[in-house]
Amino acid sequence: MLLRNLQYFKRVAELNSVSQTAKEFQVVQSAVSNQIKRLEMELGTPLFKRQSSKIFLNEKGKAAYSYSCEILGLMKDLKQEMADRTNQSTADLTLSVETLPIALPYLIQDFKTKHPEIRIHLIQYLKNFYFENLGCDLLIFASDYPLKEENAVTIYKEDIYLAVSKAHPFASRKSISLSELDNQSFIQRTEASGFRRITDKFFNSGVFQPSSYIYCDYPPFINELVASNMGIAFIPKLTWLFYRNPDIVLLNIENNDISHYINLTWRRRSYVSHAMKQFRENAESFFKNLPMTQADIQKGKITWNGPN
Amino acid sequence: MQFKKVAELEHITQASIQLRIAQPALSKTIRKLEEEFGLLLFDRVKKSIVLNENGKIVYQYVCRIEQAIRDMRKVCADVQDLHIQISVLFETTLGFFPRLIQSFHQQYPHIHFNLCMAGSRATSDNSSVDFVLTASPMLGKEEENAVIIMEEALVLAVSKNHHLSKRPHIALKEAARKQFITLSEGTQLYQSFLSYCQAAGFQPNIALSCNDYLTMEGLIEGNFGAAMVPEQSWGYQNNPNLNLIPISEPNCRNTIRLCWKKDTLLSPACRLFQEYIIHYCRENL
Repeated sequence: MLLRNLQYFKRVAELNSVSQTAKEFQVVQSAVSNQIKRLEMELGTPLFKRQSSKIFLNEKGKAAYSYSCEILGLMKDLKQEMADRTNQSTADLTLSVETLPIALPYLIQDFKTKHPEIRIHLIQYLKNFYFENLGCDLLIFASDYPLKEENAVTIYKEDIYLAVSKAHPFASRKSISLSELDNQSFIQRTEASGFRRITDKFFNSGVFQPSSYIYCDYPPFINELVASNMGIAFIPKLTWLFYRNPDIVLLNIENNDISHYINLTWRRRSYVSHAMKQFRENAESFFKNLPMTQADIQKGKITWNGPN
Repeated sequence: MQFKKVAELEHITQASIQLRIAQPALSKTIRKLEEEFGLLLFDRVKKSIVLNENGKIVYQYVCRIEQAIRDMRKVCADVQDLHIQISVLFETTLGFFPRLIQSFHQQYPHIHFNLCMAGSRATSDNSSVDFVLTASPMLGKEEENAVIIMEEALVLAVSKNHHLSKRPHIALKEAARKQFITLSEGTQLYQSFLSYCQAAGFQPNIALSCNDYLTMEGLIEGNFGAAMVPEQSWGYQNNPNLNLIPISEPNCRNTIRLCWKKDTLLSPACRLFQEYIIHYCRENL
């Protein structure tokens, strides 16, 4: 069984297309289809079923896919672990990032300053990115619950605030209860946003009914809309920390136990390289050292603008 | 793989004889592999070669890769007598489990199951268990990984003839003077039941206790008492002779987890099953 065999097979299964796979590997189509045929012969079973122009895994194929990922993952880990042992002066780290739109550059800068020898490759905005793709080492993603698993860990619990314009009647308040938000205009995330799942918990609580919504996913725009008093918005702490706007006031939400969690995850059972470990440690201390308390926000006494 | 043979024999000449290739060719293959990793995999002492730390790591990977290839062949082969077994220990009962196994088995007929109930003799040797299904809290089980596969309410099950049976819901303390049926002492459900009664401010009068949920179903049907049971996972909701009364207070919950040992390798068959059960519970419950 050849490595190439499995690589082609895996990609065909993911793309549901021989021609797409051939394009990706920059080979002719017959090279891919021959390898697939060979694998099917070796395993003694068809692995795909054909439907119109696309091809899909059959049940055996699904099982074979899971093993292929395992085998290719082991090959990748072997290379990585050996590379770590050679004490090379450089290392590579591929990060896929689904969250932290504003804080990410600071996090990366902080890491790069301390570990200039590690080359970072960022993959952003790839929804439903699976580790089985093997193209990436760590994934940063958000959730509405904390994680502590064999291959995932929460690195930051992010508080959520209500942002209002300085001109808004609430602006003099320090905190607010959800029931007071009846009949307000809101800047709300779109369905595509992960943060929407969390804000929906507020909107579905039933204690208030917004008068209108503006939908927007881009945090700087949300801040601008709030600042100009187009509406009020639930915003996560980091969005505020790294993109402050003097015309916005943040209020604590009373009796709130809803938070946003920033997590790191890696392929299950994969070898954790030095670079991955260092990134995790660095990210944890980065978030721990954010000079940010609720009191700081209220007093507007924040002078930190990213590392140094 | 040629490296594996050399690593096992630690002898180039013997390995080349067993592999039926020329010795210089084999030496060259090994050197090439070392160059590729940028590391020596063997220590050369005088005329012999000894696998070093790096080599041992490579050897482990090679073994795991070969195992995965063998498993892949087995799963894909149409041969019946190749056993790939998954062992599941039940610390709690799941009425829908047979159906789940059935549909899993249709998809993967070569994967076999070994199901055992907690408390039975077969469970003394826990090392061979791949998964544990449990309703007990996670506390103190740091060595395990777990996912919640279902969460449900605990309700009060009574016979149709029980005089509480017409109640739309009930606060547990209203049943304080009733006779109860429970699972045996030492089970998780027994513990939960006692602590919920305590929270409701009474010591339950336990008329009968038994070891399994089918016996218990019969006892409740026979109107020997009321019992606190999971709303769904035991399948009592399908029994027309029973009424399941929601408990308004306290909030009684049952959480079922699928646990597996940390730091051990789940075989690909186990991973298939793990994904399957999580998916099944999301779709069907």
